Amino acid sequence: MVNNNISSEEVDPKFRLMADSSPVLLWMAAIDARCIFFNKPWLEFTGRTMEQEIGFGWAEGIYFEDFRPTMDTFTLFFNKREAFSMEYRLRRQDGVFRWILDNGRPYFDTNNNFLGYLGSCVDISDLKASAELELKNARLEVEVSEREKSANALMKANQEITKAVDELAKTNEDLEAFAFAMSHNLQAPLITCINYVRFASKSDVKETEKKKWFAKIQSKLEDLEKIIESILKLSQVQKEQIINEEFDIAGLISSVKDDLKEEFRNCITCYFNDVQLVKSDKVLLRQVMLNILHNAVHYRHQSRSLVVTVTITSNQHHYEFCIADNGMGISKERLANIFRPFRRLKSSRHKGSGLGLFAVDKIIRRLGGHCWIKSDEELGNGTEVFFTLPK
Amino acid sequence: MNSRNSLWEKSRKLNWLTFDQTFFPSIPSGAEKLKVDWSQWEEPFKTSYFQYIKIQHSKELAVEGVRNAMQRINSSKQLSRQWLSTLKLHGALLPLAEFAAVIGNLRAARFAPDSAWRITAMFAALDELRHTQIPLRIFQHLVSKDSQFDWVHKFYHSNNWVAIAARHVFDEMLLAANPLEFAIATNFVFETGFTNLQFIGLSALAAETGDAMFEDMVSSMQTDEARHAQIGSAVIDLLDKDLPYVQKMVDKWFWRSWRLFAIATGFSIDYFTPVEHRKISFREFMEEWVLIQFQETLKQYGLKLPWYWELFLEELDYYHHMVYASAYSYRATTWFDFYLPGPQDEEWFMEKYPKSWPPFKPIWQQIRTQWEKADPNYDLGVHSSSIIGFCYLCQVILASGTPFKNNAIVEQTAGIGRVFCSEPCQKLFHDEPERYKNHLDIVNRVLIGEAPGNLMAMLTQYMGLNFDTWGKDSFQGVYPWVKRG
Repeated sequence: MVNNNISSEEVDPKFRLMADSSPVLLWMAAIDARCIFFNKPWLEFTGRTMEQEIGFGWAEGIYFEDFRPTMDTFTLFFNKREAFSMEYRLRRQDGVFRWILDNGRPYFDTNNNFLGYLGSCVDISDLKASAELELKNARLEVEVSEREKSANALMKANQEITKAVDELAKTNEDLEAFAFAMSHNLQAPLITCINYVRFASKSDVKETEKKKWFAKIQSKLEDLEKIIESILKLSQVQKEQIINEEFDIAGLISSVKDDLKEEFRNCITCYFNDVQLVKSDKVLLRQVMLNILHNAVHYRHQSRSLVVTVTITSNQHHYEFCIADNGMGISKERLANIFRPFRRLKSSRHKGSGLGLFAVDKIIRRLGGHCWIKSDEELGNGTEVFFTLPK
Repeated sequence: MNSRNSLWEKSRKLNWLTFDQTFFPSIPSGAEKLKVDWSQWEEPFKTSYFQYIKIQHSKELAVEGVRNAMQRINSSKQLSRQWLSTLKLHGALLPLAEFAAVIGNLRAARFAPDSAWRITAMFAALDELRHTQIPLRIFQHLVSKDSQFDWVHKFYHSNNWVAIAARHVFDEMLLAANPLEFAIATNFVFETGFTNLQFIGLSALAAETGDAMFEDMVSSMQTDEARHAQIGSAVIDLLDKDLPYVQKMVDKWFWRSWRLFAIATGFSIDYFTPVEHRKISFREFMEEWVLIQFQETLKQYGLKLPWYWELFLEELDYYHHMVYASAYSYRATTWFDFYLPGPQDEEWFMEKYPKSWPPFKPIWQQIRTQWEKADPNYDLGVHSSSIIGFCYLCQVILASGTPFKNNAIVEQTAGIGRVFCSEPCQKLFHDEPERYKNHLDIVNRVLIGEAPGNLMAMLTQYMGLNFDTWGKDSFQGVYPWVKRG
């Protein structure tokens, strides 16, 4: 092995001059890895003399935690004669440890004999601090964004809870009203029946009178049966699982028309506006259409023929159904509670459970849509029942 | 008998009529607790002052003569670089330890309960003074040739970890012990058991390697040791009714001496002596020169073998190998160079330590492989840099056990964690916790901020080493068996 170990004194004076003028910290090591030269900026940085730094003296200033990785890196690359770059903390002349980026390269003579290493160092503490700050900021931003998301989610959840509470309150209200109305509507025909039975049981009632009373009783019992049937149907509406499927809306309306009396089937005209297929619960929607058309039939105007138009439109978000009739219409007073259970318009002539629109409203809301009615009895223009179904 | 001798016979036993507490307070004398008739104290080998100085004078002339001759021919140049480490190691361990022995002997010269004992102790103090001066004088001319020899004097003044461990033993044995404990610890255990025969063995080794100067130095010192080591046996002779006390002292000091002795002599015999000059192994030396004689001596005085004897016998096989391998990896922390064992050494080790050597083979192979990749000019390229563990008691690196079985014991007592290299060290600590609890090995000094954690700063600023003096590989990693690409 060629012994090219040069000493500190043999460092070229021109190189020294140039190195001392450099703004970066420079060092030179000989083939035995001992440092033989440090430039002026280095010595000013460490506040030590050349005699203190040369050899391995410079390593005394390495922060103790960085000592091993630094020496390991230096040794590894020195033995391989490869360039290296490493970061470590070095003590500045004021005692503060500063992060240094140290780059070393081997150098050779013209015969390719290894002569040692040249290295340069820069103080990267501010850069590191800034990078750390950036990282901290980025982390903070992520945290803030996550907190914002959480806050938004919380707000949304609160809104949903509020909505659910409102709905629950309305449901409770409805239930109360329903229960009240139900008990009233069940009680009324029962009481009537009881009274009729009492009348019919009197000994002095003629047979013809008895037949009349029995006919009335039968009628009331039939009413009761209808009410109970409606309630059962309504309860099924609440319980049944929604089955979303695509179906031909024209076919559905046609089947609903078939349930009506023949005389009224041709009174219904449909305008589909290119809506052919609807995706929703077919069974429930049929019930809705049936209830609305039944009402149209029940509450037709006495002095004119029934005309019902069914118009379906659609936009990006939902279908809109409008069932318009030329019937009696609904007074403003009754319109306000029209979707409440057991709200019938003319109780004596117009037989019905009073649950039809209540069921319509319930079903449409279950299907994700909403329902409203336009009508004015005074104007005598009939009633328009609107409902939407989401797409 | 001539009149001088007959006067001497009478005067050596001139004693105080009563053993008065005023002149012999209990702590320095240590004899109050034991009810012994110290007037019966008799040393086998008596000498008068006149005889003493006459004999010593002739020894000095001989040593000086050899030293001058060796200096003229520059004999150190002919010595193997390997062997030079023996000189540096012993050269540093001896002088100021011997000086501490001067102080210990002078305490005995003042406070020993018998006049003959006091006189013998005085001669022993003079012996030890000589043993201080000889290595300082012998090695002084080598400082200009090799700055590591500066550590012959500097060593005990430094915070080198070996010095911390050595002071830990010698301060207690030589500076703090009362004459009774000093006699058992130093004269009986250390000198009779170890150094007396160590010097014989070392002297023989030195002769083998052609080191006439060292040979003469140690054999001259050994003649003094033989004389004043007898103080120990003379004291134990009278303690037949206090054998438990003697046993406790023997157990303690044998173990503590063994730790240092294994390093100094183990390294010298098995590693620093070139393989072609090794006649016996360290284990064989211990068995022949120390164990047999020591066991016979204990039997003679009605003493038992120390309770850890089996562990000690096991350690003969591997302890010094473990310490050497560890110390090689941290050689810059010492002031002498380390030899890298090669194939011939391995053959020899396999022959001498067939049971314990195999686990060490891969360790040395790993180090050789590192040298093959490293630059021979860059000694630190094959060197460790992280701090390792030390025993809280003996303050030597944790090396008890084999590469596969670590004997170290970790314990937590009163919220303080301590690590001991072995059970005997742990027991010694707990026998006298107040004595040892504030001692700090090098690692604990780093942890409390007294010593720097940066290795380079520790070597230069704390241990007082520099590039020229810190330990390196004896041949800079250039060996025929280290194949580089």
